[in-house]
Amino acid sequence: MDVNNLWGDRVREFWNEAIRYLRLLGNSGFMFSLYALFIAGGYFYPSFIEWLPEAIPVSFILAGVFTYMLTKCPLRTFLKEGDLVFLLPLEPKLKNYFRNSVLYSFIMQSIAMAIIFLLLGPLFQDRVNEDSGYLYSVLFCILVANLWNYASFWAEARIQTETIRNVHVVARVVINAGLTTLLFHNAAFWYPAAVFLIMLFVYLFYYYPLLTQHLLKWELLLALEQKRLSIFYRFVQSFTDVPHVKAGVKRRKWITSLTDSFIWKNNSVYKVLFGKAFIRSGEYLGMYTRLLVTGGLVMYAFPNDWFRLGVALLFVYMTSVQLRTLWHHLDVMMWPDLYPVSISNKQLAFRHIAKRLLLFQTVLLSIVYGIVGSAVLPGTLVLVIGLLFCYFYPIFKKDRGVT
Amino acid sequence: MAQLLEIENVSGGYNVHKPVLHNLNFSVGKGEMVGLIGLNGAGKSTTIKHILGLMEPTEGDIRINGERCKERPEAYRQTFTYIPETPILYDELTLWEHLRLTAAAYGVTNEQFEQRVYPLLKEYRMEKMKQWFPSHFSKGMRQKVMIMCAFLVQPDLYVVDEPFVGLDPVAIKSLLDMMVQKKEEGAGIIMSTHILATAERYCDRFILLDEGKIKHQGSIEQLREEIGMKDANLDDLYIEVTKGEV
Repeated sequence: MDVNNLWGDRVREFWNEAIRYLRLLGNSGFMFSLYALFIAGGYFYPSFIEWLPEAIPVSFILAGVFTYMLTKCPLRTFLKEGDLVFLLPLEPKLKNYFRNSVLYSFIMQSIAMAIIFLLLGPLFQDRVNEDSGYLYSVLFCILVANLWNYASFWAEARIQTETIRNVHVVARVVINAGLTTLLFHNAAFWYPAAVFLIMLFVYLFYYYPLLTQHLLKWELLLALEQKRLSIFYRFVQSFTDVPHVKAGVKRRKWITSLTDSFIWKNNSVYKVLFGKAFIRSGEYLGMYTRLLVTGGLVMYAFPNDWFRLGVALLFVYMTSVQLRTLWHHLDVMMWPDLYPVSISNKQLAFRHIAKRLLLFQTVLLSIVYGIVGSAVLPGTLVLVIGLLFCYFYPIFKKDRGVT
Repeated sequence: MAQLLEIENVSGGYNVHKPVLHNLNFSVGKGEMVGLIGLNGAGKSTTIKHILGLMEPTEGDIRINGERCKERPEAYRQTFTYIPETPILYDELTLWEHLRLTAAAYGVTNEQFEQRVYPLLKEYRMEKMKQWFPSHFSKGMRQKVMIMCAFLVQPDLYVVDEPFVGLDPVAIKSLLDMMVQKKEEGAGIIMSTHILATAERYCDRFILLDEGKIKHQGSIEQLREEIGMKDANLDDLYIEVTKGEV
């Protein structure tokens, strides 16, 4: 294998796989909903801009959005775990490999930023500056700043200590926020120019020397790569099964302390396992919260009370369908098979937890209805039908007997 | 000596027509440590899987304390704990939660748990890592979690699969001391390992497994006599036994 071809091979390998997944997405109705969203968005966008109250500081929000995107610098290096062993000795020869990676990441991020910027364009022209020449110069400035961020980030990534890296991130946030705030407030030309000058100096006299002072931090690069990759696969996974997704675990301290007494009560092994998996592992809690928030927003957005009733029940049902995946969370684990605990406990515990979660969601959606709705009857029905549903719905009828 | 684990005429494997284990007969008594010795692929792990009840023998009978896994699985599983060769941990549980969960699974009371857990954490020097997640543990630390969980329960039988790899010398000493102590208290231990010198010092009896068959079993003196090598150590004996095969 030739080191010089390695980067191209890796990129091709990734895109070959990615394209197959994306094609699957295209066929899954995802594209259709995207079109529908675009058409609906295009229809409602002008009236949204008109409706948007003057009091909302659009310039600051835009500056915030782009400061976040500039500072983040998602980096794809296409590294694999084995590289820590096999490529490590080749580090001096990999200059081109990493330059390509940074460039690739920069271009990808620039495309994403340009798309978001142009989508926000009408808002920008309404609230910041009508001149489309100014619009494009701001876009150009942001892309240049993006290049600076990537160059700096690449030097930053060589610092071993995480806290020191974070200090650098904060510094970049300040600079980026300064630049974007000026750009989105129609500042005179020399203000942003001054910021760019600062950027140039910081890079030349601080970041550039870092490149030669420190070696690459391979483990950090690998972790960043895996994070990017898992974001892609997690996105795909909401449409189809992806075999090799490594879901991260989050501690979620305050939820843990809130739920611990419930989870550990009467020492049911499966209640602990399902409960902890739901709270900490991968996507369960995120999915639950997303459905809750989306349900609430849809109920808020539509003016009809009966429609709201339907939406609330639909979202409770969708959550129940999604929760079924939690049942399979323990399938690959050996320990539950060894515990002197009957398998029927597993079903009991699962049902117990799933029903509590659905009940909680029903109650919250009823409260949302109480805030946004007006007629009493549909609201009562949300609560009553929801509660009946939670109580009687066989959450895993297709899993019954599969043990 | 009362028998704790009894294995009678057990054959088994992943395929009925290609058994991995052939007609195994052995037992582990109370207060006895038995070493399961064999090359890679000799059938040690498969034997252990059969004892754990993860695999069903195609023929023969496995009993622990007279219980069969098929008849009363919960009672059977209550009798032993297992230390796997590769540590298996729940990604979403902290060390402390692993211990609590194990206690809950085996019905260890809260008082017993409090009594046992702190000495274990101290012994394996894991007190500071109580709230850590497994992703931050080294291989040795993960192995320590397995060991602590197994000893927290204090079952009748310990099933131990190659426990020394990745452990630091202090932890190895702690583990061996603990096994000796449990043995003296009347527990049975079956341990598979490649560290033959250690096995020779600590095990009362040995089962030499080769290609799924028991070649020899007994105490070190019995093995020497059967194989006909006076004063030989376990390493030499084992190499002698497998020589014919290679």
